[in-house]
Amino acid sequence: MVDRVLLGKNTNSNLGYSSESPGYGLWVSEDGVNVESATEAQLLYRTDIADSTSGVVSANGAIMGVKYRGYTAVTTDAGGTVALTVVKSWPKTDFTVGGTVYTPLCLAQMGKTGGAATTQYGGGWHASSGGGIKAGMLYFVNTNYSSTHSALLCQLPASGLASTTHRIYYAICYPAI
Amino acid sequence: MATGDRVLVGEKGSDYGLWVSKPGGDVLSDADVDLLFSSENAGGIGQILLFQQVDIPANSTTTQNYNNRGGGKTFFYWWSGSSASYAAGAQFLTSAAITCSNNYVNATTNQIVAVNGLNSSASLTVLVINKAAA
Repeated sequence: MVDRVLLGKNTNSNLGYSSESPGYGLWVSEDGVNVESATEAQLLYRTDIADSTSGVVSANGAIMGVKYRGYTAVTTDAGGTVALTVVKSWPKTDFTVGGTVYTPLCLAQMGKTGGAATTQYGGGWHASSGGGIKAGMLYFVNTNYSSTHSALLCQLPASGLASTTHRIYYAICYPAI
Repeated sequence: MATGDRVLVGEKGSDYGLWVSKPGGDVLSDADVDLLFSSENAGGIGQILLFQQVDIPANSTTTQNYNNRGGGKTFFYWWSGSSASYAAGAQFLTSAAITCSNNYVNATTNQIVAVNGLNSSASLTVLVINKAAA
């Protein structure tokens, strides 16, 4: 048995710490690895992630927190098309910090068949090189959808799925940029 | 609200680690699938390293290095558009002239390479998750 969770003071030299210059936070190591001597690659979780590389806006190892999740049903027309449609909107105040409105991490996918489909198309629209297979939907995140709300929208080009109702599943998440 | 224990640090069955249950859950009895956090996730916890905009001038390539936290393989996804207005699939539909890849450089650095073959500048929104790839 080894120590796997460290909460508080960390002097692990493999992470660049020492007794003279310790880190503070929470670290969890992989099964069988002593957290007090773990290398970076052997950690499952850590609260000291920062990246000062030029151009990087570090997310600091945030875990995706789901603010909203659910689905919206959309119905294709005879041509298999759905015009630009709001899947989910949210008050700008949800992601406003210091007067700046940020954009959340938004994920969406589409049920492959109607109703409560158990198979999903990944987010995005796909077409074969020959144009014979078209599936999925486009999705758009618009921070300034209205004066008060941001929104996630979807659109289906000629999908080949005529006159059927599909669920667009979504997750509106932290962090925001 | 919560009726069960929410946070467990230490011994759970034959394992040692850290677990956090959902509100109303019981960390002592809930399965991993019902937990907010479990140190039994052998692949990692999926911490987000980057979620940001990358700009590419017309007919150019933009590279963005980042710390890969000890050489761990990272999960990577990109959307077309700026961080205030990004879209999934749109660029794939309208153009194959923009590509974006995630590359291993060395034990400390990975590199995002975004190529814009269009005659106008472009922006991408990029997500990188630590240790989430095989």
